[in-house]
Amino acid sequence: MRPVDRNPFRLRAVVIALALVVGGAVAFFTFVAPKHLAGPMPLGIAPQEVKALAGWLDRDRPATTAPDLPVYTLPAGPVPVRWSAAELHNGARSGPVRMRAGDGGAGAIELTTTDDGLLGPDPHIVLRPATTGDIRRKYLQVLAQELGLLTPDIAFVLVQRDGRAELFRREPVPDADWTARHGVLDAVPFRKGFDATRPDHLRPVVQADAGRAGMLADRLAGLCPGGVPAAVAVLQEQVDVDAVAAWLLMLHLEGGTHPMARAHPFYYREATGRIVPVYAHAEGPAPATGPTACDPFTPMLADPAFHARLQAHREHLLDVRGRLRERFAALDQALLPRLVGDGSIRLAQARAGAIADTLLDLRLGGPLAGLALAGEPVPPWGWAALQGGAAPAVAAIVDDDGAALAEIRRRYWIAMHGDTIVFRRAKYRLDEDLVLPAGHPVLMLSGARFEIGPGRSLVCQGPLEVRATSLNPVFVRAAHGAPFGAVAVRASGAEVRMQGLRMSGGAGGTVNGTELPAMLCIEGAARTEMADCHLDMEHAGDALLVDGGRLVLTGGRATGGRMLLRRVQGRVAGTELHAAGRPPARVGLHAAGGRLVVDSVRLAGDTDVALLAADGAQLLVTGAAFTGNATAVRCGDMSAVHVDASHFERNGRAFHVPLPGGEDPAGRFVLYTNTFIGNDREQDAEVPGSVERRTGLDAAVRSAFGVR
Amino acid sequence: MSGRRGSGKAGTGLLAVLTIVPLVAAAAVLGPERAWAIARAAVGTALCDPMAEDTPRHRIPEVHLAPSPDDHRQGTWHDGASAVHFNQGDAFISLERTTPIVPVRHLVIAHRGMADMVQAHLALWAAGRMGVLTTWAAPVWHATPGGPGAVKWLHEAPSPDYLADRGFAGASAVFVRHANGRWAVLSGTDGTPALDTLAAILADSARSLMDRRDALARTIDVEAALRCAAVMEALPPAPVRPLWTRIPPQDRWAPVLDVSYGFRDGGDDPILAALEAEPEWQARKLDLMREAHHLLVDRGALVGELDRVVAAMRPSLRADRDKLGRLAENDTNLMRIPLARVEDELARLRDRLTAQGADDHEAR
Repeated sequence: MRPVDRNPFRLRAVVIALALVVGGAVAFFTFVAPKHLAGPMPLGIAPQEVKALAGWLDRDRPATTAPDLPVYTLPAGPVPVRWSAAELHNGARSGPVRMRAGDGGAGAIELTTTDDGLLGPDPHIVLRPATTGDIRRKYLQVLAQELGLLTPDIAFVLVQRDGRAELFRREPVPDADWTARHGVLDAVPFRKGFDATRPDHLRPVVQADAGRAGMLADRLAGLCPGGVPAAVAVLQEQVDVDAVAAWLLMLHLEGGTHPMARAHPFYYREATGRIVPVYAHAEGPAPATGPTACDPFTPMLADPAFHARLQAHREHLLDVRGRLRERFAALDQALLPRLVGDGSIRLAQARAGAIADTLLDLRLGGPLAGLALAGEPVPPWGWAALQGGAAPAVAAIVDDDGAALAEIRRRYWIAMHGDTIVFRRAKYRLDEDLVLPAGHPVLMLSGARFEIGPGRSLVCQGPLEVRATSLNPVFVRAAHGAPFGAVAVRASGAEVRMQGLRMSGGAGGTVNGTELPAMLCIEGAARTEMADCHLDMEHAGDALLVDGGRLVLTGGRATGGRMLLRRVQGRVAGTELHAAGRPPARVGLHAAGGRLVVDSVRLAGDTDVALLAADGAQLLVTGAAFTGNATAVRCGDMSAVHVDASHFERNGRAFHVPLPGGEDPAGRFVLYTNTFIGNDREQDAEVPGSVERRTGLDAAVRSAFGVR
Repeated sequence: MSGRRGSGKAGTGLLAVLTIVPLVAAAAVLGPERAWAIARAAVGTALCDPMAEDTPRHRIPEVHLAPSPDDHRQGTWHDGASAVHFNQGDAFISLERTTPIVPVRHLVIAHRGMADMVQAHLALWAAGRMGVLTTWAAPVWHATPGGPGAVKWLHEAPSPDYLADRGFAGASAVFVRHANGRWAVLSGTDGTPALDTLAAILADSARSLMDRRDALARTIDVEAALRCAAVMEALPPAPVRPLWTRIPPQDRWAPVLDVSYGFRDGGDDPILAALEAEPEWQARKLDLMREAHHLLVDRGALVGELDRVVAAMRPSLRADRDKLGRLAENDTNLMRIPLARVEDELARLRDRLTAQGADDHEAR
């Protein structure tokens, strides 16, 4: 047998080996430039080992001044998981707060207060333990602000509890107060995620407003019908394209897998009707990356124009990259000494530099490959049941029951004030007929903008008030260019007041078998007051129908369509009626029955008849101007028209009395002092004796029409 | 030589004494039952589960409950992202609010067999993919302070907050199910009149076919129900059952697929049966079954999801010292089985799904 070689334990060799390893490590951490410590280390050296060694050898720590930070003193003990009242001391101030454990990892504290300024500018904040890596969040905040995005402002505070002061990152919760403080007063914040497997991502989460959540859910579902994104043009109408481009660029810069899978904050602007994203850094553990549901944002990446916007944002950041580096350096100087604490400031600076290089060089300067979603978007889980539960094509709601009203409030952005249905400053898109419950007053406030789908109508079955001005009107427009039906008030004895209404694009329609013959129909109202309302017809049809009751129509104008006033008593003053339109109106003002004062009205254009009195109407026309019409005034069966101080110019004929159709007596003109310039004929009376001339209005006529 | 042999015997005796005496002492201190349980677990661990790992890096959510010292039925729920107050009732745990990890509030934590968990997950996943509402469920690592953790099945309990947790603020869900010839209201009471209406329509044999069809279409979300029926029929048998709830704003009954442990003998669902009696709706269901095959089986999505979820659970499963592979047949007691057998079951499940896709492809 071969003897086994003796291999004695050699202590000297072991000591030399240890000395070599330790000496090498000391030399490495002494002489290596700090920036080389920032990246991943070879040979399985963990980051915490690098941190420990670098801190131990960080002998020549540069002189830095840690900034003074607010100190929040909170009660001792663990943070309650439920909302609990507590007393918070912030420097010289103290006040009541409510606190609970926050989301996003261990140690998070959510605070809210009603004491203005106690928690800084925001009364609802989340505190999370600060780490050195928070400098990256601060960098990203700077980039988002440079792009013009709303983003929660990150600050740092010292939280004193149990006799210890710890550094926390302070972030506001992006709620309605927060958006209002940032100058967006018409914002409705909500959260929405696009992880197809998460039930809480099915619908947007709107704090304390179920109606708006339903409306937003319908709107978002409409942008991805059946899980397939709508056409880019449609998407771009519903979102703030520029902000979305900047936001997607920020998600690219932030990195991470499946950025759309987590819930993001957004807000809906009532004035513009568009969805705007808020940039907020991801918090807590990365979500499980299940299939991603269709979102209305990323499909726009396929649009070259949108991609150009995104590139423009990117180039802007590249242009100001030098200034951004300076801001990052200033942040390093101000924040890193606090964030590092007793750790190695050099190592932290090196890591911050590496982060800045990654953001500004690698990601911003590199290809935009990360913006594409991984895989094909799928419909969110359970979508069929929710789609099946969507509203029917026609909301045939005629009964005033709570369920119907709740449904309307849920689907449309409608507020209630008592029993009054209030359309506030917002964009309302009606893709189905909307029949408001009977008896409920309806108030439309300035800035409300209605976009009504083809053939669809809005029907109020109670008093209506449009409270707007010419500078800040209420708009009613066709949604897609094709004419909508009508806006109608059908309520017996109701009062209608309209001021500052701007309506165009309607042509009359039918709702539940009821014909609405004009773009604006008011039927059965006891009193109608309209001031400074513009009704512009873009399609064939009548602009206005007022059937019954008293009418006071002041100022405003109607173009391209007839104003049909049926059995009304009252006054039309200072209104302009133009025939111009596609096609021009055949009749300007049509009074069918009733008694009406037409005062200082201008009727101009290529109408067949500018003013038609029929069915026994009695009109007093004074101070009016008729220009360029085939017939200025026609007085039909049984009607009587008094014309005084009016101006007729370039008309085919000024007055026309046609032969009566049956046994009814013919119409009758009573003419006072008027001026005639360039008319083909002054009068065309087919019935002898139907035109009477007088020198001045007598008291009986004045009394009959209620004028002085 | 004899001296060396004598010292060897003494050493062996000393070793035996040192081994046996502590064991006897431990058995005396612990009691025979606990000592036997420990010995059995030690042998089982050593022999049956050579794949066991001590400190895995869990890829499924880790949850643990910290009961209040004053009242063990409430306390703090920790899931890695949040700490939330919980109340523990007889049936389920109620969280005060949802968290980024757990998006629903009413939960049951249950021991389930690995294969059962995976099958249930696949069924809910497939149903959701086809647009059917389901209850939420996920495998989790349930850490128990002072004891070993275990892989458990965290699933949503049908509750009135089902709709509120899905963004229908203010809506209260009513859940009903049909089992053993009668309807049962599982949660909520507001739906009782609507349930009576539904039951009356289903039971009314005097209606004309058209009238019955119209009544069903007004009362039930037919498309969602047919999708549910298609998924249940198209995919391999899974422990799921349809519950019925009313979805706002139209308040029509729609199915919610739920995990149905212990309810496998409930019989056919009368709503689905009534819908399938209509030729047009039956044809629609067949279309949807084809769609389900195309989406989930032909494209390999289901097998892909199986692989994903098993890969996510595997590290935690190997650290599960209880090894609750599955429920014993005809027995409510839990049975320990080796991980190798669990892996074998999963492999057979995968083979079955793959073969189903291949068979369907050939049949077409």
